[in-house]
Amino acid sequence: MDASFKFSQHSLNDYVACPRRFYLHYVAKLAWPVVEPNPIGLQPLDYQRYLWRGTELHRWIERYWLGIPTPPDSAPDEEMRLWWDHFLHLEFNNLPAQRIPELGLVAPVGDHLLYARFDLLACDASTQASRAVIVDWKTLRTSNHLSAHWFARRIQTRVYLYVLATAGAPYNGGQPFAPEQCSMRYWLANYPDQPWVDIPYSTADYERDRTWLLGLLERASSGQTEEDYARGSEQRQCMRCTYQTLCNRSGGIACSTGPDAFEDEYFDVDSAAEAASIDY
Amino acid sequence: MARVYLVGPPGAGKTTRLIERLVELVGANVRPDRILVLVTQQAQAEACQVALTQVKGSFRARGDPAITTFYGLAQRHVSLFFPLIAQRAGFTPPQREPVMLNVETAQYFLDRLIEPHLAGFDDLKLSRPRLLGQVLDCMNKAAECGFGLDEIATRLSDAWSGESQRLVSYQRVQDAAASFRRYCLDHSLLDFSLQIDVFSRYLLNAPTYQDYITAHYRHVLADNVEENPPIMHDFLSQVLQTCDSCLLTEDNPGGFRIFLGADVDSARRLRTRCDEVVTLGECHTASPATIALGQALSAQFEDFATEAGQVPSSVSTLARTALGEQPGNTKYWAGMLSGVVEHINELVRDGTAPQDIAVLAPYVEDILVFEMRESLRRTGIRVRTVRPSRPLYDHPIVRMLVTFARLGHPEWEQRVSVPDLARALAVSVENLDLARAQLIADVALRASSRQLVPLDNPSIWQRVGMRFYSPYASLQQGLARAATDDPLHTPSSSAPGTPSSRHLPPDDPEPKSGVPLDLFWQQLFTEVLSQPQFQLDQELEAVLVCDKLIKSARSFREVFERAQLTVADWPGPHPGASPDSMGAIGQEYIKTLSANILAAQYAPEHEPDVVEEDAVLVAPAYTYLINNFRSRYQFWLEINSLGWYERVYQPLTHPYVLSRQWQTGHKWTEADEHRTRQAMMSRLIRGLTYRCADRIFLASSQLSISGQEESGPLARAIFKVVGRSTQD
Repeated sequence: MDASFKFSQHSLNDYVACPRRFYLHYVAKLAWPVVEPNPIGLQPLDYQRYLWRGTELHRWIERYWLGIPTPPDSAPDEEMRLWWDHFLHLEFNNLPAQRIPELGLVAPVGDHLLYARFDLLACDASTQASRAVIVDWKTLRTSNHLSAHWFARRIQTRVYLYVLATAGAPYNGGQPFAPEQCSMRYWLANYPDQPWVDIPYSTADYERDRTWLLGLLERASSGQTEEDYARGSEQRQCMRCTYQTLCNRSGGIACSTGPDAFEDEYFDVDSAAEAASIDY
Repeated sequence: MARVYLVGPPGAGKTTRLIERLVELVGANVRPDRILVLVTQQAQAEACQVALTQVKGSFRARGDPAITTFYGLAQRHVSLFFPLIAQRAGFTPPQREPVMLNVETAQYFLDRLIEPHLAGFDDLKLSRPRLLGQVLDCMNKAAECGFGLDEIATRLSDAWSGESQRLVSYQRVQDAAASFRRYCLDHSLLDFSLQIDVFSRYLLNAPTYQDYITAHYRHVLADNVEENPPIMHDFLSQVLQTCDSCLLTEDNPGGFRIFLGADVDSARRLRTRCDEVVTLGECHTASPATIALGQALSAQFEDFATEAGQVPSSVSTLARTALGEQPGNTKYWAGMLSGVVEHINELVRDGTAPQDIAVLAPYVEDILVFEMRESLRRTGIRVRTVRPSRPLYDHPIVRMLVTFARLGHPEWEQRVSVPDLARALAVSVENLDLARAQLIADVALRASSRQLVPLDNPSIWQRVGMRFYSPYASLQQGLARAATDDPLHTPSSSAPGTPSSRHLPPDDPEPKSGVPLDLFWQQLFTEVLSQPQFQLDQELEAVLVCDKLIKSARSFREVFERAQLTVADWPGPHPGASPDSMGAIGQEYIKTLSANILAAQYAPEHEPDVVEEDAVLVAPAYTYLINNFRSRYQFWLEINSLGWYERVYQPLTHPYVLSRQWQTGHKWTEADEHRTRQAMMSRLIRGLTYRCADRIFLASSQLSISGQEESGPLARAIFKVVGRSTQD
C-alpha cells in the first residue's frame, strides 16, 4: 500500500464493512461502473440528485460563513429550500467565535495518516477556557438513529475528534487542544425541532480511539495481496457495495430493496465530497 | 523567508526547496488553511502531497494545505463567490447557480451554435473538432491575457498579411465566440474562458474577495510560474502584496505551454515583486555530457551563436559522448523502428529498467505505439504512452457501448450495421470470435435493425455454438430492461426454444423514456457486461474506458439538468429529438460523440489512470516536457522530420499574436516566424537534454512514415555538432 495513503472516515467505513471492498477501492483503485448502490431506497437518478443537493447545501453554508449572500430563490427544489430555511433559523451564539468552514486536517496515527474534513470548525484560542467544536451538516432522512449514543459510535465522530485533538494545534496558538476542549455537533437539516446532536470528548475517549484506530489502520495497511483482504462476513453489506457483481455475491441492487435497518449508517453526503478531495 | 524568486534549470532542486519550505511551514504550526501551493498540473500536486505525508518525526500535526493548479483555484472561487459577481458579469438571471462546462460540453454547445455558419470556414479545410478547438482557444487566450472577445478579430487581422479571405474567417471566429458567450451568460454556463474572464475582471478586484485572499493566503508557494498564463501572474502579484512569505520557482528553459497560454516574460515580472532572486546554476539530474549536447545543439538555433552556430571543440567532444550508438539510419521508417527496438532490448538485457527509457517523437501516432508495443512485447517489455488527447469514439469499447445504446433506444431510429453489431458482440462476449459474431449479427439485424430481438431458433446456435445463446439472450433482455425504469432483476436465459422473458415485436418499439444514457449503460454493465460469459471484467483497461465514457455522459447530462435547459433552450435545430428530455440528451450525446466532436478523452483529474510503472514511455516531445518527465535514456525518433521544428497548423488562432507580449497593429512576418521557431527549438532541445541522465539515441530514416524525404533543422544541427566533433 502507498506509504503516502491518507485514511479517512470514508475508507475506514469501507474497511470495517468489507476489507475486500476497501482493497478494490483504495488499493487497487478499480473503477467498476455499476449503478451506484444507495442505502436509502431512492431510484438511482433521485439518489444522484439527492447527493448533489447535499453538495450544494455545503457550498451555500460555506458562503454563509464567508458573508456571501445566497439568493433564496436559487434553490433547485423544495427540499433544498427547506434545508436552507432550517439552517437560517439556527442559533449559533453558543459556538466559539472563530468560524473556519471546510477545513481539512491530517493527523498521524502511528506510522499512518488520518484525514478529516470538517464542515466547520468553531474555536476560540484567545480565551482561557478555549474550546473547539466540529460542526457537521447532515441531511439524513430517517429518524431511526438520532440519539447522541448512535452518533458517538459513528466512525466519522471518532475519526474527526481524534484528528482535531491530535492535529489542531495551529488553531490553538500552537498548543494541542485537550480532548476535553473538543466536541462535535451534528446539525440535522431535516429535523428543525431537534436540530443539534452534541458529542463531548474526553481523554479516556481519546486513548480508546487511538488504540482502536492504530489497530484498524495497521490491519488495513498490512495486506500484501488481494487475498489478504477478506470479504466481509455480513452479506447484507454487499447490497450497498459497488463491487457486488465483481465478487459475484447475490443480494440485488440496494435501491430495489428499500431502506433497511442500517439506513444511513454508512451513508453520508460529506463522505463523497471528502473522498473526492483527497488525491489517492 | 520573505519573498523569494528561485530560477534555474530543471533538476537544480527548485521543487525540492519548495517542498522543504512547505514542510517547514506545516511543521512550524502555521495554519494549513493559510498556505497556498500552486502547481502547474495535478501530478505535481500529488508529488507535494506525497512529500508532505512522508516526513517523519519532526512534528506530530500535519495539516492539509491547499495544493492546487491555478485553474482549479479559479474555478472553485468563481463558484463560491458567484452571487457576488454574477450580476456585474452579465449573467441573466443572476441568481442561478453557476454550471461549469468541461471541454466536451463546451465543444457541444459551441458546435450547435456554429453549425449554421460552418460553410463559411470551408476554405480552411479544418475538421470540425479542430475548428471548435481553435475558436475555444481564441476565447481562452483572450481570457488568460485579459482582453475582450471583441478584440480577437482585430488582433488576428492586424497581424495577418496573407489573403484577405482569412480576415473574414477571423471575424466569423469572433462572432461564434460572442454568440457562445451570450448563450453561456443567458444560462449560467461557464466554459473555461468564462471562468477565467469572470475571475480576472470581476472577482480579483472585488473587495470581499481581496479581503478573503489577504486573510487566507499568508504563505504562498508557486512552482513553475513560467508555465502559467498572465492572469495567474496577476493573481500572484496581488497576493504578494499582503502575504508574509512566498517562494516562486521558474524553470529556465521553460515556457513549453505557450500553446496553452504560458507567458515567460509575464512570469519574470514577478521578480520585481520579490525581495530576492536566487539563481541555481547546476542541474543534478542530467549528465555533463547531455547538458553539453543540449548547449551545442541549441546554439545552432540561437541568434548569439557565433559564426552560424560554431561550437567550441571541447563542448562538442563532450556532447558527442552523450550520444548512444545510432540505432537506425535506414531508408524506411520501419527499419528505424526495428533499430530502436533492438537497442531498447539490449539496454534492458544489460539491466536498465524499462521506465528509465523514453522514446520521443514530434508526434506519436497509433501506428508507432502499436509497432513499439508489439515488438517489445516479444521480449516482455511493456510500453506506456502519454498523449494529449485521444478521440474517445476510436476505442472499440466505446463503439460497443454506442452500438448497444442505439439498440436499446429504437425510438432514436439510429440503425445499426452488421459489422458494428458483430464487433460489439465480439468485444463483449467471452470467447466469441468475429466470424461467429458476424453470423449472429447478420441474423439478428435481419429480424430488426433497430433493436435486438430474441433469437430462439436453434439453427443459428447450432452453427455458432450453443454456449453463445445464453449471453446473447442476457444481452437482448438486458438491453430491453436497461432503457426502462424497471427494477433490476436477474435475467433468465436457459436454452433456445424456450419463450423469452421479454419479447419486443420487431420494429415496433415500446416507448421508453426517462432513463439517462449514463444510467442505461451502468445498468447494462451491472446486469450484463460484468456478468460471467462476458469478458469486460477481465480487462482493466476496458472497464476503465467504460467508466470514463459513463462519467462523460453523466457530466454531459448533468449540465442540462443543473442549468435547467429544456429542449426549447438548446441551441440550434433538433429535428427528431426524442420528446422526453433524458432520451433527447442521450441522443445528442451519441450524435456528438460519433461525430468525434467530443474528441478529447474525458479524464477526470482525480481519477487515477492505468499507469504501467515498469514500462518504456512513448510520448510526443512537448508532452514529455510539459509533464516534466525524466529518463536515463532518451530515443529521439525521426530527427529528419520537420515536425520537430514546425508549429501545428492553426489558421484561426495564434499563440504569439494572442498574447500580452504582442504589440497590436504589428504584422506577423516570416522573420517573426523564424525567430520564434528558432527560440522554441532551442528551448525544446535544452529542455530534453536537461531531463536525460545518461545518453541520447538519435534515430532517423531517409523516408518518413508517409514516404516523404525530409531534412529538418534538427537533423542539420545534429550533423553540424556531431560532424564537427567527429573531425575533432
